[in-house]
Amino acid sequence: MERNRRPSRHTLVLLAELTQRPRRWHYGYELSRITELKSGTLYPILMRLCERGMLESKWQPTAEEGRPPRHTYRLTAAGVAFARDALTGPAAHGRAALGGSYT
Amino acid sequence: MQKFRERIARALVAHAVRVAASDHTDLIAAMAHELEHLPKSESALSWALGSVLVSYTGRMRVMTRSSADWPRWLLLLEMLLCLGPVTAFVFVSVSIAQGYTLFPAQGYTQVQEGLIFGSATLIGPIGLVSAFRTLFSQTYGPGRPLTTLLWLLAAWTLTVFVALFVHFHLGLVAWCGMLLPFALLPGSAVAHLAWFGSIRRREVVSA
Repeated sequence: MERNRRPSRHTLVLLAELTQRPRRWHYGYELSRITELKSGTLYPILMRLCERGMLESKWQPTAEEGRPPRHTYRLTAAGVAFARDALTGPAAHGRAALGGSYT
Repeated sequence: MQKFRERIARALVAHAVRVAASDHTDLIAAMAHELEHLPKSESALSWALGSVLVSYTGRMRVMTRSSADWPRWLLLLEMLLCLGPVTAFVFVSVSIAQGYTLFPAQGYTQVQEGLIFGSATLIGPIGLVSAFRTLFSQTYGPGRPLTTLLWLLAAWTLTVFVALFVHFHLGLVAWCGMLLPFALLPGSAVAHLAWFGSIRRREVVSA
């Protein structure tokens, strides 16, 4: 049975960034740089969001020769709704009071 | 120095990919590929360590849900840590039987003491043999009779060691330092083997 936990502060930060341009594909490093989340923190969140159908991913080949393809991510329709709900809900208000807003 | 760090980072990431649980390989591979696209100013080592952390965390989460993804080396290490010390105690039992008496006031002979401690350490070698068979076979898992025997041996081991500690009025440090490896860890190994056996029986039935 899946637990329905409130999104963590790091998840909210990530969702805030992804909802800026929900239909755009994002690279992992790009998300890490903008959200200032380290890879060890970011990727489990991406994994969980993918598992819950909030995020979709795909491999994108790169133009540079000799470089491997990159994984890109963007919110699904369900993810967009979830993110908007999470970012404007009581959890977000509580976390905003502790340090910064997400809108 | 930078090239050395990059080599270490690539080796770490390759390890993370190998260790990743089956349903996380795509994501760990994504981290590995992303490493090749980090700007020079970015710490590849930090990224790679993150990938190792994610891989092991994902592996642990999957391992607590099912038996299918237990890496053999990890299970072997666990069994050696849990059953190795009590197996080594077999030699102590032999020396007791040969000369050294622990309970002279109780009137036990050397042979009797050797038998008591020998039987208390049987869980070690029997558990290890069962564990090796489980690890290196696709279908074997300890059956109910063997599991029952292991539980009885674990209970007997615990009883003997607790009696030993109470008899010699050993302190808390000795309790923690000796009871854990010689009595409690074998019990946890038996619990894991029993769980593994039940999973294997279900898998064989459903196959």
